[in-house]
Formats: sequence, C-alpha cells, structure tokens
Amino acid sequence: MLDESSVVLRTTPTQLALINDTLLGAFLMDKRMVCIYSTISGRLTGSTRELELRINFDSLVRNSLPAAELDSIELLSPETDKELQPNRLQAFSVSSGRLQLLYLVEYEYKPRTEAGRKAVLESLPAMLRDKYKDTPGAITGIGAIGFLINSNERLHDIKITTVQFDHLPRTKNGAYSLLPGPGFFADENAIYLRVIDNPENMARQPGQHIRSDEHLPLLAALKNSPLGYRWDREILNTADIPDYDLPPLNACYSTLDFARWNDSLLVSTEAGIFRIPDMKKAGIQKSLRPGEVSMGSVKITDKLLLYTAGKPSPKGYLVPDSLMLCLLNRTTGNVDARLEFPDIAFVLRNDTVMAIGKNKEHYFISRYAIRND
Amino acid sequence: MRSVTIKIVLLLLVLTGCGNGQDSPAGSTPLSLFAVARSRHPENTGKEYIFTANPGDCINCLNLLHIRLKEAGMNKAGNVIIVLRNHRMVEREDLLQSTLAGIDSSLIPLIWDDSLYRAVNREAEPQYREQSLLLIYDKHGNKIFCKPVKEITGTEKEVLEIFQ
Repeated sequence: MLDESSVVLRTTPTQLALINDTLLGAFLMDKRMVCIYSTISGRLTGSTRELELRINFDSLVRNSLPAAELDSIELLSPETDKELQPNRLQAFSVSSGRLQLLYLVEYEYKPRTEAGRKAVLESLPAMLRDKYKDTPGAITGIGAIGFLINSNERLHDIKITTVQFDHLPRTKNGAYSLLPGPGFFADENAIYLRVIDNPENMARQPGQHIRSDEHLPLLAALKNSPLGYRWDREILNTADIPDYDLPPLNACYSTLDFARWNDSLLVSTEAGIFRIPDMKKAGIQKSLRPGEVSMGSVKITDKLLLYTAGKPSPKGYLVPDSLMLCLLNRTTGNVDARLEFPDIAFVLRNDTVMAIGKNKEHYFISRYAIRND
Repeated sequence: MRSVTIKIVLLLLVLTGCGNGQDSPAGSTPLSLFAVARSRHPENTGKEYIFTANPGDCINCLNLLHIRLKEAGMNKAGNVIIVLRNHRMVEREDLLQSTLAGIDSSLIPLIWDDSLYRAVNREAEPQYREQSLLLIYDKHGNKIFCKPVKEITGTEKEVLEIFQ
C-alpha cells in the first residue's frame, strides 16, 4: 500500500520513474508534485513539496532576470506563495539516478517604463484594459522563468539552471510553445520535450485528422549553455514520419517516454520509436491493432519491448477499460502477451513490472512478474 | 392540490434520514435534487443552494470554492448543502482539512454520494460539468442558476443573498 499519511492521492500518478533499485518517483499532476516511494514498503520517503519549501523562488527570480529587465520593472514579492507554489512543477525525469525537475515560476511586477505599461495593458482582456487604461499605476504584469532543478534521490545536493521558455523562434503559425507535461527528458547536456506552434492543435476535434501539408512539430531540444538551457531546434515533425496517419491526439494527453538503449537515447511517440538526436526510426517498434494507439511508458530489455496501448476516447486519452500492457518479442517481432493494465505509467525493475493500482480504499504498487517460458 | 401535497410529503419522508453517504438518495431528476436539499432543511421555505466540490479542480478554483463556501455559511447556512463524490475516508479527511476547512457540517450538510454528484453535474452545461458548481433552486423547486463557482462574479442577482 502507498503511504498516504502526508500526501493523499486523488488519482493515479501520470508518470512513474525508477530512481534506483528501491525508490520510485511518481508525478501527481493534480498536485504538481513528485512523491518518492519505497518500492519495497510503499512508504513515502520525500516529495518535491519539501524541496520547494527550502528554495526561495522570489530570490531565484531576482537573480535570474537580466539586469536591464530588472531595472525596468518593480518586482513584487508574493504576499503568499500558497496559490502559486502548487502550480510550479511542470515535469520530471530521472537520469543517472538523479531527479530532473522542470519548474516554471511566475512573478508579478509593476512596469517602470511607459513601454512596459503599454505592453502589459495590451496583454489584458478588453474589459480590464478599459478599466485600467486611465490608471496605469495600478497595472501589474505576470512573467515566468523556467528552472531545471537537478537533485539526488533525497532531494538534496541540488543544482539549479535556468530554462528558456519565452522568446522562442517564430513559425508560420506563430511561435513555438513548449509543452513539458506530456513527455520530458533532461540530462546535463540537453532537454527534450514536446512542442507545438499552433494552440489549436492542443485539442483537435474527433475525426479532425492532420492534413498532409500541415507538418506538426512534435519534439524539440534545448541545449545547455553558459546562459542555461536555451532553444536549440525542433527535432521531430510529422513531416518526417511518412506513414503518420494517426488521428491527432490531444497534445495534453499524448505522452512521450524516453529510454536509454545501449548508447542511444530513444523516444517513444504515438507514431513510433525514434533515436535521438538523428530522429531516425529505431529498429524496434511497437505493434498495434487496428484502431489502437500507444501512449505512456515504454521499456526495453534484451528480449522484450514493453508498452501500453488501447483505444483512444473522443477527447484523446486512452479509454481505461481498453488499456493493455503489451510484451513484444524483439526476436520474432510478435506480441507474446497482452494483459489488462491499470494505467499508462509503469516501471521495470529486472523482471518485474510495477504500476500503481487502486481498490476502493487504497492505492498500492502492483507487481507483475515476467516469466521467460 | 391536496393530492399534490401528499405526494411531496411522501417523497420527503422517503428521502429524510439519509446519512452522509450511508444511503444513496435516489434521484436523477431536478425535483429529486430539490427534494433532497429540502429534506436537509425542513424548516426552509426559501431557495436551496447546492454546491458540489471536485477536489480535482485547479488549485485556484479550490481556493475560490473555499472562500465562497465560507461566505455561504455566514449568510445562508440554513439553505446550503454540499454534494461530493463518495470519496475514500482518507480523501474526506484531507478535504475537511483543506477545501472544506471551517465548514460546520451540522449547519451545512455534506453528502458524499456519487449518484447525487452526477445528478447535479447533469444540471450544468456540458462544458461546466465536473467543475465545482453552484446550483440554486427557488422555493418552488425551479432551477434558477447553475454555474461553476469560479465563474461566479458575485453580482448575479441570484447569488446576491448568499455572497455579500
């Protein structure tokens, strides 16, 4: 059973990652926090909420804003962090036993320059713009800075690096926007995450397929530099996938997963598994039945490829009752086993698959042993 | 008129005595929702205010719901009920310490019931369902208001009595 003495679960975690042999990281999207559980006892050993209490985000923002920008605004210290704090954590991944936590920290400011006041006024809804246009002193703007916090499994020994979230390159549809939630990976060199350039693609209507000339961006890379993680390039687009004929899933639900295999980093999307950075299709691919899509975790062993698949709902997430864990034999290319599965997130430790299950009163770690017959 | 009065009394008698999640107050019709609310306030002859609380709402929405519930409790406690899903005990305790903190359940009944929660959601526009809602019936059992709590400005005429 999972320990709920200090963090009560309301839904299953959207993402799981094995930190080491005995610790499991679980991302609770509704609470915007990562909880670390013992895989042996289910005990909660730590959470990002404790980490956030030790970090002065206000000071972090002040020290990260360029001097010129800081001079042009009056940064307002939050009177209470209670409303902003829970929304800051965007995504997490694990690399070499260390947690990579992506935060987006909002700050409120009063512009000091006339140009700044005008920019904030223009960004307001019309009703508020009319209200405040004659009282510019009352205008406050909201900005945001991204940070990557790298920590050990006890959420100590942290390193904080800024991450570029704004002033991204323009595209024909507007500009790129980063979507860290549904798929994110970071290490010391780069960040890989979902990207869009048209907000309309966040949620397509049922039956609204991608046209052959649309070419939706799917994945982007940010490179680590002396100025922090900065935009590098778009690295995967639907145009690069000749057989991409899947109905576009809601970008918020369409999760990616990343896996190290030999010396490569692989990314699993709904359109297949690709090798980073050349983004060629990897030799191993998921096998799907007609009408099926695959989202969520992917794990690779010498003999098997494990992934979750199911039928998409009209809104774009996998219908829970149709969810299956598939075990594909890498030698024969056949799916040796399919079993009903509680969620799209799972981890693999040796020959044991672990996921979070739920009965009427408790959440617990489900274990499935893989037998090599 | 007399036969109508008898029917309403019988309905109230059937529904009275439902504990918090002990029994499932039947009903998927608007009249039943009103009757359930009335059964908790048998002396009330005015409007009935039914809140739902979805713990999966956004953090700011839950903060706002907490504020509105406290306002409602101060102004119209005798006319308010709160309907929630049949959550696990540990989730109920968590809610009572957070979103529902400070709510006197002896004045404002909490009903933990999945079917009633769904019934209230059916009264809302499709795009509003599963958000924390406020549903208001007039004294005759007619629905006069149904909106997510976060969309309420406080200046709507139907809510002036409850949010002052």
